[in-house]
Amino acid sequence: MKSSANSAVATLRRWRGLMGLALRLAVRSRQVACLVVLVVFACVVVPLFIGGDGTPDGLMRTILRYALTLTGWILGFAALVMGSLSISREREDRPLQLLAVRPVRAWELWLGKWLALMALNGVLLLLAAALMCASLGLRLWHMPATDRAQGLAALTCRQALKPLPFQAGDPALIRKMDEIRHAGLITRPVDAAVMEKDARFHLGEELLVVEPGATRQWTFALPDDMAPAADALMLHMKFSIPGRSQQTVSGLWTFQLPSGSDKLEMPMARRAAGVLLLPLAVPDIRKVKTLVIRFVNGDAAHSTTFILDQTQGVELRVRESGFVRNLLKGLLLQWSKLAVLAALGVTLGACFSSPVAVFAALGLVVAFSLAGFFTMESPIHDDGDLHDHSDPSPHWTVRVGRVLGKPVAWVVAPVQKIDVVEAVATGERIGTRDAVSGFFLLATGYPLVLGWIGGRVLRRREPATGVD
Amino acid sequence: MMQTIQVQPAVSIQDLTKVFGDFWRRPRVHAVDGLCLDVMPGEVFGLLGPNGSGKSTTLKILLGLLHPTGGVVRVLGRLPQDVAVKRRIGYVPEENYLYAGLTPRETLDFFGQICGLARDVRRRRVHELLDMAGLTDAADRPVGGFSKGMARRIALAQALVNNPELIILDEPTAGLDPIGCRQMKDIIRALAASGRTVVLSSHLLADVADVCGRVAILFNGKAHAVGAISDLLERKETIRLALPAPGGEGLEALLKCIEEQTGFKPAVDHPAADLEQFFLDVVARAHAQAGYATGASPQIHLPSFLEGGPDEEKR
Amino acid sequence: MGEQSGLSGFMAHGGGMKGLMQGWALMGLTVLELLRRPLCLLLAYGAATLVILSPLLAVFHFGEEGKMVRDTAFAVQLTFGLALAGYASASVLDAAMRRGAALLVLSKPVGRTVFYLTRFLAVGVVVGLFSLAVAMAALVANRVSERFGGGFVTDWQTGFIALGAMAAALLAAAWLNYRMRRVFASDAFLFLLLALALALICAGCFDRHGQWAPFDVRVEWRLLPVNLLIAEALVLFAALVLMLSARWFRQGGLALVAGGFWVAGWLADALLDAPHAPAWRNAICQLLPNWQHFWVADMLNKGGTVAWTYVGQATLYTLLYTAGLVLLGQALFKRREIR
Repeated sequence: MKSSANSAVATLRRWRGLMGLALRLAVRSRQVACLVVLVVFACVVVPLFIGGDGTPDGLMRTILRYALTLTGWILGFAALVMGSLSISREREDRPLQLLAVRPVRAWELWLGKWLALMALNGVLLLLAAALMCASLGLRLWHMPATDRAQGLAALTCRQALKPLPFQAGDPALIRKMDEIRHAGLITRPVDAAVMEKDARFHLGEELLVVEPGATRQWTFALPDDMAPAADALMLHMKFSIPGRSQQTVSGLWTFQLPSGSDKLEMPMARRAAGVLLLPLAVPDIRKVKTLVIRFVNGDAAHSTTFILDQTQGVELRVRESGFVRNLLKGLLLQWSKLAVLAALGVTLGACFSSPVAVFAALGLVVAFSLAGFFTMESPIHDDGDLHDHSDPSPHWTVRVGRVLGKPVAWVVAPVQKIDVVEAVATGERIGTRDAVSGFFLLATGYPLVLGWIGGRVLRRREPATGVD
Repeated sequence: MMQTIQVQPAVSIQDLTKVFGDFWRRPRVHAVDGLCLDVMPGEVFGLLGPNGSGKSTTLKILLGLLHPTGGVVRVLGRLPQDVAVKRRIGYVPEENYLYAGLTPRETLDFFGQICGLARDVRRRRVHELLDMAGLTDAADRPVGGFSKGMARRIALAQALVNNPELIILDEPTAGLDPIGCRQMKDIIRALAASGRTVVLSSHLLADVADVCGRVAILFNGKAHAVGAISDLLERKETIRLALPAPGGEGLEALLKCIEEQTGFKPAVDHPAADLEQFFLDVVARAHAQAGYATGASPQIHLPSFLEGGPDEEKR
Repeated sequence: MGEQSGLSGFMAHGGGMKGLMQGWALMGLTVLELLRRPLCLLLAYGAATLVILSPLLAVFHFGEEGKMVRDTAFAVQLTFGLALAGYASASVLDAAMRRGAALLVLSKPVGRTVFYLTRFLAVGVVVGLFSLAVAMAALVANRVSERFGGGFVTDWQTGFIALGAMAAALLAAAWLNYRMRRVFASDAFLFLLLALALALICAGCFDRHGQWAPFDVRVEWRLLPVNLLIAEALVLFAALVLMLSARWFRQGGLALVAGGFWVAGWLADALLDAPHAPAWRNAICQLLPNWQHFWVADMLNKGGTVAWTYVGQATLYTLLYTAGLVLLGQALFKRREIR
């Protein structure tokens, strides 16, 4: 028992030594200083020059997008390059020989480099978070008081609820399917499921446009864990005309609870641009499971119509957690993605000489990112569009590419699952379960596999032969 | 009747072959070709040979850095790639393979850490090794700025931090000044005296003659002579007499007597002093006059943790 | 003991014919050294293969087949070329000094100015050869994606000829390495250029049915100005990396800072340039290399061309900016201590 405890202590000591060595070398070679400068540039300097889309909340979102995207690129690139160079350079410059004759296993060498990169990325991400908050605070402080509230509204975190889809058998759905059938839009035989999917798509498009005098209705299913705050519910509408152009929004908003008797009416007569947020003070909101929202466009005098953005349209934003918590969850996911990149870089550094390892790392990342594009099926299966634009019998090379690309796309899917930048910038809530499971999958699962490969390769290679 | 105790060699090489090939796997260089030799515990063994004879290749195979093409190699009874055996080995490479960004203190501490030494043990040993290497004053300067000799001292110190049983030295005196050479040789002798096995490779014959008990001379990957230096070098067919130079007539008479007795006219010359010893005597006198040294300290001694022999727990 | 600087130093160390021969030898050696690096070969082959495969593997065309292939070719030239330019510049100076090769050369009667200049010119030559390879591949790929009689039809024949020629180039270099022990990488690089030239001639001289057709009909030469502009951007980037590595940055730090300059150059217009911006913002905007000058792929849409006057202006910008970077770099390098 005592000897195994001593052995565990010695092992931890070894790992700490290897990690400390990699960190020390990174700091003394000024790589860390360069990274800090670049992160400061991305999170502080760039936001000073950003103009946004003319609205206060748009400015906040643009700053977040730029800062998060640039930080992600910088740290991702650094993880790949530093990871690739860490082992390959040591092999070429020969210090790896001194390590190889020590009681250090090959995979422990790999682990030391990877842990060092993880620690470095963690510290830099925290620095980025602090700098981002400072930049946002600075811009808010310089805003006129009238815009500040709207700017602050962008820095909340809400779960965005989309309206419930049309149920099977809904009269509107059946009507739309008949319309499509009779309009002669079909160019090939299709089954009912595809027809229904196409009909849903077109109905969804219709909901985005509300002509003068027309009525539209959206139904939302509310979550169980809403925060009992005064602004827990907010109706979020994004208009398709950007910038300072405004649309006429006049009419009657009705918010109906399922009991039928409780109704909240909110008349409106205004011009709006960009994003319109309407707080809803619904009593006993936590007991409500379904909310029906109806809008009657009362603007019969004007020819403009109420046009909503295709991607966001009407959403119900339910407040669940603060912006900073959401940002930290996003950064946790970002950290785990960097863990995958660092693991890939170190493994390729174990396999190849330094320049080839860097190129292979960058190339693989690009290729994996594009795998999804090359494995897409024909449009008829993707978006319900029945108009066939692609070659009905693709060349065998295209088919081979799809077959090869599918497993790659499957491997890459968890990494691409959550778009951290968009989620944090738009205030969309990142689920805690998603963040934690993503972290464990990406920061342990993938590196385990890559570390095993890297350890095996290091074990087999002969470091004394130098550059390959 | 006395029983013979079979002592296992510290290093056992049987029919070792190493062939380097090109990209097409065609053999290009036979670096080692059927080498057989054993190194017994506690001896200082030298691998001699001209450049390209396979000395460094053999050492790297012993360390597990290269994989042999054929043959069997055992180091302290195990395969060279065995991680456990590396706890008992120290290695001083031919070139400076240290991390340029680390200081000597950090370098020694790091290697002590990965050998699993506790912090207080590491601290003590680092202090003693820096003292041994004469680099206490330069302990906090990055190694990248050191001269070759100073870097070589650190390389030796890192090889000893884990108190090894077997020390492998590749060209240990290359690039060292005469003082450094003498100190290196003194350390090697002291390590052997404390029960450790030392294997070194060199093409500097005088240095090998000073420290090694047995040697193997390699050429083209084969061992052409293996044995104790005294046995290999002794020329039994001649003798040498050293005596104070007699006067002119006395010398003539002596030579005539020898010629009459042996039928052979002897050659006469004055023996020359050893240059290294002469150099060291001059430097020692100068140091005594000046009282200090600007380079590494000329005095050297083995750290206390090495005087007691290899750690028992590693056996 | 100081070194005579610049031109006088060049003349003092045997200027004139002797100096030119010295410079030519240094440059030639550096070019050969770079072409023998595996990465240069990988980048060139990777770029050419991707460009030629793009019309063959595309799944969606959206009615813009030619544009997609062109943009892919230009994007590949830019991204792969960046990697090549950055790597080549870093290795001819920083790596050479780390490994001691620079010591050996500078211990001969070679001035630092000559050393630096020849390094830069050698990188320029390699970047130029790479750009030539990608330009030829782009011309072939554009030919492969040609439409015939309405509707999209891919010229698989030409595509496979081009891919086959590239494979044959690799095999030829491998055979020479096997039989005569010649260095594989440099031979493969040069054979690649030959293979692509032959593929281009085939593409231009024959139609899809293998019938002899007059040249110049099916090759879109209007792509070349865009390739040239991208090549100029790569040379400018190489000069920047060389300047950064002359004294200040090494290895990983060099990659990060060079990448930072690259991103800053793209963002400069959007962030700093404004009609009533303060003078310091305009100054920074002018000082940063504006990579957007070199990306003119959109000018080729709907049958457009790039005016040669524009190419001339961009070339002048490149020459002046590069000259400034080279002067600054060689001034920094002169003061660098080499251990």
